[in-house]
Amino acid sequence: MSKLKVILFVLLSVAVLTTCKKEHDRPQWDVGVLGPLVKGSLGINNLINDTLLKVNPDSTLTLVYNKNLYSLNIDSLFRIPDTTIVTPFHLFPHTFAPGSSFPGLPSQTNLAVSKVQLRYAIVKSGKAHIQATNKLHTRVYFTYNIPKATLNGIPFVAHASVDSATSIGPTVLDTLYDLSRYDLDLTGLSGNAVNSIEYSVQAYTDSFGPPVTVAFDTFLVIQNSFVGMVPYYAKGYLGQTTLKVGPDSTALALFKTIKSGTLDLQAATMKLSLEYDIGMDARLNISNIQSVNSNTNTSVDLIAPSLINNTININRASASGTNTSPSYIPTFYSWLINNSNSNFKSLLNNLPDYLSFALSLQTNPLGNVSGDNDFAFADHLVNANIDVEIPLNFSSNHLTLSDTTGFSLGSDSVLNNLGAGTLTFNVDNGFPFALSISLVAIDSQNHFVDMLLSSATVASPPLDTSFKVINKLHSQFIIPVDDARIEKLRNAKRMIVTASFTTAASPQHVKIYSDYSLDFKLIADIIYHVR
Amino acid sequence: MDSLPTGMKPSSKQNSFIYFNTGYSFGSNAITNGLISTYLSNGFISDDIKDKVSSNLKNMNRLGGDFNASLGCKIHCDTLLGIKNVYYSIELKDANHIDAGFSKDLFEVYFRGNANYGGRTADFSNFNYNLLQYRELKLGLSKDYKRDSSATTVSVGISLVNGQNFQRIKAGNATLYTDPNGEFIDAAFNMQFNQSDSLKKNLFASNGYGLATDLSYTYRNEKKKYFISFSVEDLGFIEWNNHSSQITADSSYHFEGIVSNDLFNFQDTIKGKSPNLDSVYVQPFLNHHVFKTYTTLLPAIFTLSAGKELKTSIPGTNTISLNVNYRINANYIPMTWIELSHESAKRTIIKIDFAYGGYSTFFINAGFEKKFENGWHLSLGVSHIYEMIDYMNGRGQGAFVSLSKNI
Repeated sequence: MSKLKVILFVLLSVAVLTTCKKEHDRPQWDVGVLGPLVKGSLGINNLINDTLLKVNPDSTLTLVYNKNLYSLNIDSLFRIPDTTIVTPFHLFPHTFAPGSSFPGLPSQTNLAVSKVQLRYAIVKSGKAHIQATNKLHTRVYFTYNIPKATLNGIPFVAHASVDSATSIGPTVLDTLYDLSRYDLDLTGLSGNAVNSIEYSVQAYTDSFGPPVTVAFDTFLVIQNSFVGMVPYYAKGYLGQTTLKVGPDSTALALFKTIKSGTLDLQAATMKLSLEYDIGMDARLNISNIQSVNSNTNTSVDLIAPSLINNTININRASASGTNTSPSYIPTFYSWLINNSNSNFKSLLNNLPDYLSFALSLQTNPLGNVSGDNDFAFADHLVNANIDVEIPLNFSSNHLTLSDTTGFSLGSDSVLNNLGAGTLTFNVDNGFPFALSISLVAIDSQNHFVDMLLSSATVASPPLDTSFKVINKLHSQFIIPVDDARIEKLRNAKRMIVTASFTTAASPQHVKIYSDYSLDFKLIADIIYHVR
Repeated sequence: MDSLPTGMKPSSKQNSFIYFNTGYSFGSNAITNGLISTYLSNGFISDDIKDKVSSNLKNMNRLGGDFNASLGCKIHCDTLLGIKNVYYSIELKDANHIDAGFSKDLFEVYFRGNANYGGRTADFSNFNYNLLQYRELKLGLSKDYKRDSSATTVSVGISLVNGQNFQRIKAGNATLYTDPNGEFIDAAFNMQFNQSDSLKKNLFASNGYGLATDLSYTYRNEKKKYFISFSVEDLGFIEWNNHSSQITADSSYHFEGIVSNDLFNFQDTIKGKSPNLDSVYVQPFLNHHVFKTYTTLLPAIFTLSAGKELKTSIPGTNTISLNVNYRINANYIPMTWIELSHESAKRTIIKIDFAYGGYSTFFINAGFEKKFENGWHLSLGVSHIYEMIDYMNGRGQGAFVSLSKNI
């Protein structure tokens, strides 16, 4: 039996030793993978946002770019500052029986509105902040009336009460009332004033309270503040003033990613449109429009005699609708700037990343010709827009675009298992330009990690006599990959993509057609660590 | 023990006894022990290990393995149901079987990738893989018919089979073409995948039931000292329950890369697409997935043997036998072996087999038996002796141990 035990022990030991040795969670080996990873076909709409593109009848393309140049804010015309009305109640020494009343006479107060004389307004937002301070040792009831502030024809009335004063001191009531959508008649008690609000306050002591005696003092103060008043609509005389705008600027996303190089457009047009919604005459003077390239620190002024430094009379918008539901009919103006009447093409050839401008708007140049019937809607005043149209017919020389895009291998198990090999980038270029591409990986601190491509050139395809692409041209570049590079890229968080365009036959202009495309395919011939 | 030559099994007993047998075997015409052991130990499969397999590969290749254990008893009855001199037996058996048939290209692509197949078609056709785990409760009867100079033993058994786990992949036409420059990959698959309830895989899982039978016939001529025998083991089936799945895939696919029209959006292009791979690129292959009940045959073994006692000057009993067996539905080729056996006067038996076929090619087995005076009987055996010595390069391995006690 002892021999049997020895044999069994040996067999068991062999079994344990041969089955329990586990180096990893799963077996591992390397395989060589050859195959396509990613492919695509890029049309011009993949390079430029297709909402910006217009296809012409001959299949050429025009870049259409809209931008709001300037919008007038109501604060530029006038503003209604916070206004406080204090109504104190005081008498000689006296004893009030329960239910004694303190009638207040109708009064008015002026809103501290500067420059303009308003007769009527509709409130977009604002509050009546009512505070009542009671020194009487009985509850006091009060009513706050603003008879010419109406909502759906019903005047504003605030009923409230404030508790009896205590031995410590007076009692204060603090309440807010929303005035949004209220119509305000600002003609005051007489009906002929401007910027005036009529109001009245009545108060009386609690009918079930004790008689109270007052000394020679103010025993009740009711204070109302108009807070944060913003009009939706205002009517009256909007004043005579000159609004100076700028120099101001607006960013142009169109050329934002262009870092260097030259662009020569065959043509370009800009339509400056003005929608004028104010019921008030004005004079517009645009003193300057300038294209600014902050990369090259160069600027080009627009030379357009029909527009620049040319005083333009702006007729008032027409009123429509009813007094309580007013509306308007705007006036429109537009100016077309093109090669023949301006140097606008030069502004774009400057590859601006923003436009700078300066203008002035003189209001009511002839005075109160409307008889206090000017009007303005706070959200619809003046809108100036530019519509730029650039036919994609140009020549470029090393026109370099650069952008940064997110890049992270992260914990992606497929990519993390890549080993040595090559990534082959096949490109079939159908655009009439050569393309030079660089790809630089950077980490989260913007430090250089690796350069995947350095000025890899996609050659320009052959063109016919009308400078149209005959057929696509194949280019190929190879990106070596090894474990060290994968490890580097694991630390990369972003990729700087730089692409430089040089049109074929430069400086001859070439047109971009809607059927042009660039096909690409990324092929891996690489070791993959099966884990 | 199924794939072990029957000569390696314990010799028949004349008395009532209880027994316990266990053993394992693995064989292949190509796959080496080195690759199998590295794979199972989750090690790194080096090019050196793959090269040794590649040098063995034919156009079609096979591998198979078993791990079995059984506990039973065989009881002698003077009469049973009116029949004299009868044995009945009861046995519990745990059987684990795996086999596969695969092409050279399948191994090369699976373990080395498709990079070496640029401009060529890798042919995976007729790949099939079977994994089967089941338990049996066997009830058997055997009877000896003795005459003056001969004895005939007839045995019959029936088994209740409890299916635990089953996986089968069966491919018809399956090819993979890789463009010389990697521009595209063309794949064509016609496959069926069967699996028993994937949620029940524990030790006591029961996913199907079936029946099987064992039959054997042995004739011994004591005068002329020869014998012939025929047997069949585990001839039967399992019907898997309706939680079993069957997936058929019949498709061809032309792959030119994941389509992206945002060249420099690396976040989306490189990474963002991968979570969708299952739905976009895999699901089209899986065009029919159903849960259903189906029946599979057990990998039964048929064995034919003939042997004769040798007259030699060596003391003891020396026997030579010629054997052949075949296993159905199991990627098995007929195995033949010659067995030399020597039993000494001290009731010690030594056996050696020279075999060819089955899952492997040529191999040698050795066995040892000892009958103790107190009724214990020990059998030990090792198969693929040379492969066990040159372990990493060998293409098979196996061992068994059997212990019985007369009662």
